[in-house]
Parts: sequence; structure tokens; C-alpha cells
Amino acid sequence: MKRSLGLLGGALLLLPAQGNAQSFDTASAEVTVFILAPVVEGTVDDLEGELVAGEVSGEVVVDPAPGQAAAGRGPAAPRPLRPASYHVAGRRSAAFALVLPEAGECTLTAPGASIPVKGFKVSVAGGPATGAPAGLTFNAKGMNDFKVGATLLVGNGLPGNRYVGHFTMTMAYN
Amino acid sequence: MKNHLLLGALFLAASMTAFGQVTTVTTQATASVNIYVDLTLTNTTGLFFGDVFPNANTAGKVTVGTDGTVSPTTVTLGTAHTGYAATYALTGKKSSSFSLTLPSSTQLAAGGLSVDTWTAKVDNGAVQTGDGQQATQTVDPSGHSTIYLGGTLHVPAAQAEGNYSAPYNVTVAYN
Repeated sequence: MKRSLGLLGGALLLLPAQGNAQSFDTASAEVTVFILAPVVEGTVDDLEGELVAGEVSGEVVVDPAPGQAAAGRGPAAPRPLRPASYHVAGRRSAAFALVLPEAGECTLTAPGASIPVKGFKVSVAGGPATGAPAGLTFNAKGMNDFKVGATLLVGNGLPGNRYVGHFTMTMAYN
Repeated sequence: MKNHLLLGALFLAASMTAFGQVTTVTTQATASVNIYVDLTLTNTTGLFFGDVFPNANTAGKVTVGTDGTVSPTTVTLGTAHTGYAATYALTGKKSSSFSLTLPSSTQLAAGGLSVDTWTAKVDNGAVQTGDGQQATQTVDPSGHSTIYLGGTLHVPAAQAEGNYSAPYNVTVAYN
């Protein structure tokens, strides 16, 4: 009698062990990544040109909008100032931000003299000039073009020379 | 005489007791059962590597840890979408032992865009690493555990832009 009870207890203990081996679960999920095309900013033309030295100081505005010539101080030079041109590439139809240089961030210099630059403006895809670009997007092919102009603060009696400076713009996906 | 009668009564009682021990046997055994609830695994969030800018010339990678940290190597991360670890809700017998099998290397696109070096952590346990690796884990004493899953994304140089996804499986089983 005692032996029989012992066997019964053993049989009961076996049941959960069989249940263990059959209890499992598999969960499916997805791994995802968004691969973005890097923003490529290529300068086609620099902001450059010629000015005629004069006795009077003043501002020379280089308007980036199409059909606008440099306007302001002094007579026109043989090769007038023109805006910088950019061709950029990025993710198709993606929105991006463009940050222009602030006043004081760029000065054209030559030995013993300088020309401060302020009032940077951009004309995107042939649109009007603005100092606060917004709503920019790459086109369906992931391209865009824009031009950048600025205002040069030209002092009187500047020596004739080549004045050079650099400015930085930043583009980023929104 | 009175003493003799008493002695006789005691003898009779003793005889009856001895007889009872011979005919009735009481013994004990233990019957027990361990009741297991089903082991269930539910995916809560998938593994996400976020926005990645590939390097034009050199292959790179992005690692998402089980703690959700995102670490790029030779690629640049975007800021619009940040990666995070996958999470799973696990239910099972309290404090029971189970095996956790990680996914195998998973391809998202031809050319090498793939995920491997999978890592997992159950609640606050040790990190389990290895593609297709199986390791023993323990269900939380509450019967509910959270599994965090990370991995490493390999990004070929100049990988074409796009949103890439691929399925993978995680399996749990009682030991």
C-alpha cells in the first residue's frame, strides 16, 4: 500500500515537467532605419566683383534676386559684384533649414584695410531675396539652387587691392 | 480478587490494542504539482536606429544598446528621429527559469545593410549577446518581465537613402 502511494506521487510530479517543454512563445518585430542622403552644398560661384574706389564711404548692396545688379555707392565697375551661387542636394522633397551669416561674421580684408559685410540675404530657386529663409525643400530630385548676397560697408579712400573674406552658411534637415 | 479483576481488564484492553495495530496501517505520501502559466512574449516596440547619414566613402555602423543608447561609428545621426531599443512584455511563472533565443543576423537590404550582434537584457539582469544565441533567464518574481533588445546596424558606404525595415524573431521557452 505504501509503495502504491509513492508511485502516485511520482506520477503527479511528472506532469508539470512535460508541460514545461511545450510552453514557449515567439514574438516577431521589425527593425527599422531611415537612411538619409547627406546634404551636399556645392558653391558654383563666389560672391565677388569689382568696385571703383572713391572719396565717399557707403554701402554696396548685392541683391541675390534674379536680375538685380549691385547697387549703391560709386560708379559701376567693369565687373560688378555678383551674389554667390549654390547648388545643393539632399533627400528628395525633404525640408531643410538654411542659416545665413550674422553681421560681423564676415569682413573682407587686404593689407591695411578692410570691408565689413552685413545683411546677408538669399534667393532660393529664383525667388525674392530674404534674410530669413523659411519653408525650404529639396525638389523631387533632391536638388535646389540659391544665391546669396550681402551689403558691403565700403569706407572712403580704400586702397586698391583684392579684398577677401569668408562666410559660412549652415544647412540642416528640419 | 478485586485486584485480579482489574488485571484481567487491563490484559483485555492491551490485547485489543495490539489487534488494532495489526489490521489498520496508516501511511503518508506527498502529492504535489507545479502549476505553470503559459509563457507569453509580446513585442511592444521594434528596434529603431533612427535617422542615419551614411559616410560617402567608408562603411560605418550604429549600435543601439539595451539601455537605448545610440552610438554611431563613421556615420552621422540625424536629429529628427532618434533610435531606441526594442521592448517586449513577458509573462510566465513567477521566478521561473526560461531560455531566451536572440535573432540571427538580419539583412535590411542587399549590399550589407544588416543588423547583427544582438543584445538583450531581461529586467535588470545581465546583458545577453550573440546572434542566434540562447541563454537562461529568469522571470521576475511578479510574473511579469520586460525584455530590452538592441543590436548593431552595419551601414555600407554611400548607402542609398530610404526607409529600410526587416522582420526578426525572439523566442522564449521554459527550461
